Amino acid sequence: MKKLLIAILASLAVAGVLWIAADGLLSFVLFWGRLHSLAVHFPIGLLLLSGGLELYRLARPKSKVSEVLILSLPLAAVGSILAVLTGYMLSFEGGFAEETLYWHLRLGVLVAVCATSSLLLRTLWRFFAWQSLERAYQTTLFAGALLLILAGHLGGVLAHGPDYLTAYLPAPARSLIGLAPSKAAGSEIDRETAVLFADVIQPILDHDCGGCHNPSRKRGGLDLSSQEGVLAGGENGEVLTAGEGSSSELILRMALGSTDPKRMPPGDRTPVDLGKVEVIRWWIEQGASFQLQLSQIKDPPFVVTAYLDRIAPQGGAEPEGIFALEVTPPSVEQMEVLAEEGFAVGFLAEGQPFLDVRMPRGTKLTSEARSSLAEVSQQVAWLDLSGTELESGWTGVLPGMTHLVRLNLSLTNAADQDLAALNGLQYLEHLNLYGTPVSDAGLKHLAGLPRLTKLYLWQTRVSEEGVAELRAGRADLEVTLGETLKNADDE
Amino acid sequence: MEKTTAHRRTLLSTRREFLSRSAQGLGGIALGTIMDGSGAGPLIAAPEEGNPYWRGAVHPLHIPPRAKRIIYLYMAGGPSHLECFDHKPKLAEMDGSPMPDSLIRGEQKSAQSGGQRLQVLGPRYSFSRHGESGLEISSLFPHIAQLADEMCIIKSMVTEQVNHDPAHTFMNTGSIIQGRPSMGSWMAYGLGTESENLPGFVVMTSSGGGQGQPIAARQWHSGFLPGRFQGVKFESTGSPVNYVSRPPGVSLADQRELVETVKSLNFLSNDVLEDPEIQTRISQYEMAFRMQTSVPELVDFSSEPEYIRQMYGTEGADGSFAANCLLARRLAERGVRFVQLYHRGWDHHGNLKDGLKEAAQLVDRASAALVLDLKQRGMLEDTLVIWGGEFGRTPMGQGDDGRDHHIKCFSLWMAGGGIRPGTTYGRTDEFGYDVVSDRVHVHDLHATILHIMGIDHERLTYRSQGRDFRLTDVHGNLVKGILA
Repeated sequence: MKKLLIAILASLAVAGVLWIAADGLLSFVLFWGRLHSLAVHFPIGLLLLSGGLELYRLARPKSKVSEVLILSLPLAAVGSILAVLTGYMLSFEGGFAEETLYWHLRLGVLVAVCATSSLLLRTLWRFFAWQSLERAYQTTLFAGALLLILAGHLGGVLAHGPDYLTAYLPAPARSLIGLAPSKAAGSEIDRETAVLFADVIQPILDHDCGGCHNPSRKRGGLDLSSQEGVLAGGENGEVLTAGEGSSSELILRMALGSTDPKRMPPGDRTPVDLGKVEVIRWWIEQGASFQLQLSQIKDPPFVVTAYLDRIAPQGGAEPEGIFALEVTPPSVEQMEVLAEEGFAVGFLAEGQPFLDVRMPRGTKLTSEARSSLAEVSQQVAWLDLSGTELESGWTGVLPGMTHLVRLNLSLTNAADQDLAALNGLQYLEHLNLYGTPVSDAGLKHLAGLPRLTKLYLWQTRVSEEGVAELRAGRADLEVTLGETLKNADDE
Repeated sequence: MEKTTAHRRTLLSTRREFLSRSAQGLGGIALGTIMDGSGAGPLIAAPEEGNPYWRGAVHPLHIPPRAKRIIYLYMAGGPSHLECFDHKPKLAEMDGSPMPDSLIRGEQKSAQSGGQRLQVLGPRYSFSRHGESGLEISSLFPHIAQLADEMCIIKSMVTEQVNHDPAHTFMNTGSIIQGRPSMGSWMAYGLGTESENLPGFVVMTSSGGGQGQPIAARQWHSGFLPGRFQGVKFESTGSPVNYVSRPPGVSLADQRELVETVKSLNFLSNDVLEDPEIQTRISQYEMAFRMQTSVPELVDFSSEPEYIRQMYGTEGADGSFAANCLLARRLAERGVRFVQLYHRGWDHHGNLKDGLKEAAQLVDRASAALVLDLKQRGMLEDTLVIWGGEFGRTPMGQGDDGRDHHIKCFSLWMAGGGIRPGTTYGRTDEFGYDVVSDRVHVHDLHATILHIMGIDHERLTYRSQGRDFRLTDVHGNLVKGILA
């Protein structure tokens, strides 16, 4: 048995020596060092568990948790020593923020010391009945667990950057602990005041590069968390040359193929979104100004607008007119009845309750058709009755159509008195009366239509004076009385 | 009858077609698409006998439409932007001097200009400002100039094809590969019909003024869309539609009976095959039958008052562009979605000065009359009028009096349909050689036209050969700057 153990240890030692001889000491050290992130989590769990169990035993001295401590504490001690060893080896990789590393290493060693001494003290207390050591054991265990939390946090800062923990804190909580508002990619962007670098590009760098290129963890000597860091470049020199987007190291590294060892982010990690890369490329090509505001970019190129639309979609214009109203859509039955009555009917657009309704030319607007129309009077936005035959009393359907925007009565027998029914249609914008017997008397009924902007009066009995009277003080009302083409053939 | 494997394959490969056909099937309004209160409904319609309006594959529309129909005045041959709508005083200044090397170095020359000395050719016609908007328009177009406050001139159009036929195909279908649906077919498919007895997509041609390069019928083909969305070419003289008149001695009732019988037979085989083309055939028989009565009324120009005929400059049905414009307005009034009028006469490799004059005289008055006539009828606000060709022409002369094809910039104007009136969009350099700002690629134009019609160009798709196709393929950006 002993011989076997010696044989194993010896062959491991030989293998280690051969390894070092072949690849150098550093690669040997770093191989084991990179196991730090694996090794470190066992002692964290075990030491916290041991501390918790001991607390429980304080509250309930008769409980049998000691049985668990017999196993968990030695494992925690051994694990913490292994973690310190691998951690020290990893520190040779370089690129870490020196101060953070300094404290992480020392706290880590302290944790290992605490864990090991608490194991020692407990063994003396329990197995050699050295009762006075119980308090000392407990103190070192609790101190170790507390220090562990600090050391672990610093380790997290080294691995993921200083903002990792707080990046997604709600804004009020951030301001409470004295942090500036977060600029995580995709957060609100005010296009009037936003600065291209600070508000668009820095969040991309933070999100996609910040894991390794932050002030705590300058991989390759590069810190991309600030303007200074970007300008300073890394150990291979500058990462950008203003005006030369495509040949700047920053872009080149992201544009390399996924199998290229120099590609960033390395390995199998998700490549940086091409849309983001193109925004950064454009910014560098335009001179890499750190002050350039979005509002100063004349004719923003597609790469920029497309990205902005993606991360901070503009809500579009606020709905206006009837589109700002809450109206229930018509029922399927109501639509079916309209179709049966001969209307061509459809929705104005998806998600809208409003209807575009047309009666085919040459047909008659029967009383049945009118009552089917009255059923949806709240929903009719566009109504085209052009060229239809209107029976007396047809106007009864109009006053209820309070959301009517366009009304086409051209080539009908709609008369002056019929227009009285339009009074109160506050959303009516377009009214086509071409080819009707309407005269100046009828126009008087239109004075109270606040939104009327287009009025077609060709081939009616309306006079220019009547139009002038209606248009008095209404520059936005466009009236068409017919068009003439000046004869230019003789020139 | 047993459905064979081949039949099943046909059926499966055209699932979307089956759905859309169900929507139109038996002439039903797409009632199934009615919102159930949630906003969107299925594409399948309840068949509704007697109501012929099919509201299209995009129902409801993605956004409220700015226009409901399009009249596309297609100036085939490549009108010279430098003599029409893009004024370049620098060219006059440098007339006869060599083209600056900085512009043309490394550029590929066409077969016709290759090997020649490239000299600047000054504009052959003068420009002046018109309307309150002060748009600069050439003296070739004294009537179109009167539309200055109605139109938006895009000076920064860009295409990819330098020869007529592929450039037409690119302008019409967004691809140079044959077999893609034309713009009008996409509209007919997406928007459905507003006319129960006329096709949704009508094409007419005229010529004069230059080499009348031919236009292939494939320019209005429906591609992989069902055949009933193909453009129907109306003749410009005589009866516009061939072979729809009843033979002597056949009554309307006889004809109806024949059509009904053929239809029932077609339905029988359609039940087995569910082939889109059978449905197309059924609907075409129906349409042809209805056109027997609708067409004579459509072309009865005697109902047009004398002053209207004078305005357009035609008595109608005389084969002229003007007659086509007048008919286009009548088609638009009757609910036709997409009317495309080709005028073949703008290919001026030589005889630029006189040829342009002749071509312009043939289209100028009628183009302007059409827009104004639509306006006074209240139709311009929901009709999009487009005027332009497939590419522009070189600032370098070809011979003493000609210009070669040019794709790096050309001009096109639009009016009506929610277009920002009295404006220009985009700029070219001082030679009219290249776009300086606000480039509008053909794909961008398509995206914008679809937007005007209420369609998101990324969402109007049709699956063919295992892939969803769009008019704009994978391109196209909305040109917001030309919209009111």
